[in-house]
Amino acid sequence: MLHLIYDLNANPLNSNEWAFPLTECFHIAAFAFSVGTIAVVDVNMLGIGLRKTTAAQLVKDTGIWTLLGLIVVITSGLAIFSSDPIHYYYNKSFRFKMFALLAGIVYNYTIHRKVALSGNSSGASVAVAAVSILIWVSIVFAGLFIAFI
Amino acid sequence: MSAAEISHAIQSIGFLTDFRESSLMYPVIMSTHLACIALFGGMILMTDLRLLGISLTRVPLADVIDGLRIWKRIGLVVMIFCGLMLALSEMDKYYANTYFQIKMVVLLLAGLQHLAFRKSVYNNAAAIDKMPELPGVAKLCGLTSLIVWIGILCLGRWIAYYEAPGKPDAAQLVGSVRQEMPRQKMPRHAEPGVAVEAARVQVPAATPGL
Repeated sequence: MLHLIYDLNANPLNSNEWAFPLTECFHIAAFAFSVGTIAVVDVNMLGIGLRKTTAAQLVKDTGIWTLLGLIVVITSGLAIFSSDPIHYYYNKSFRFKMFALLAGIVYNYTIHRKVALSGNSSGASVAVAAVSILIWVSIVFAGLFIAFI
Repeated sequence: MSAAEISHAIQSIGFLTDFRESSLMYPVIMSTHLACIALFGGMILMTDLRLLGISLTRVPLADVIDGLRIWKRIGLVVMIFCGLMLALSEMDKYYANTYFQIKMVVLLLAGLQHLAFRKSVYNNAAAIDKMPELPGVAKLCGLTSLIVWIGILCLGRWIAYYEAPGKPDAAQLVGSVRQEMPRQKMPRHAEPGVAVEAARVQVPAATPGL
């Protein structure tokens, strides 16, 4: 069993009534930004999104918002993690979430980006978009299931 | 019939009771509700920022609004379905929850916001694209939408942190032991057996109807 020499009550997230829910709100709003902007690109790659704009254009224009969202979501996530590290460390859903998040970020900036920028509208593009949506939705599910398993 | 009795009658409907007591369906529907925020809520935020002239400025407004319309509609339907399941199945707790009540009011405001700007912005995007710069009404539309949707998001989260004034009723405590107890009171660091004991102590001695 892992132990930490760390007073959890010294963490404002555990002592201030407003801190924890507020951090969660930032976390949720930020993943709406990051996942939402990726989803805008994805629906375009699926062929059911913006008609007059290409996925390549969307990747370039939403990139900064995806990145900002990811920075805030990871920062607030680290803060939430600090409120009870041991609990999260041993939580299977949390562990899955971290691997999926890593996979999601790598996927987004490699395969997903490359295919979106290529302007390819074949089946490959549809598959890449579908996988992207699946990964990000699974991360959201895993995040919520931390509280349920 | 009081609001409490009506709420209890609603959540006692067979399938809502089954849903509430299902250890899998409840979190699955809650996750779906949250995933909708990610996918479709994000699209609303991007549209709002486009209306404010902050993001996607090289993409025509009409393309953003028309292209994402179907997705936002699908998202809204899924979101409301999940939200109804979550709220109705725990109506005992929700009906008196101040944050829930405010959320419903702000949700109504979101509907009114859409109606207010439907003609001038949402169905007028092609004409706005022809204007030399974004009109004030488009920016006002984006700003009000951003405020109400971020508000709804935060209020939704805060529902879980509501503490009823005065003596909490037994049903609420039993529910809170499961997951909604205020964080700092959650006996999570104790051994499992101790946690159960601590949870039991908090239930009032007289618990009629349980």
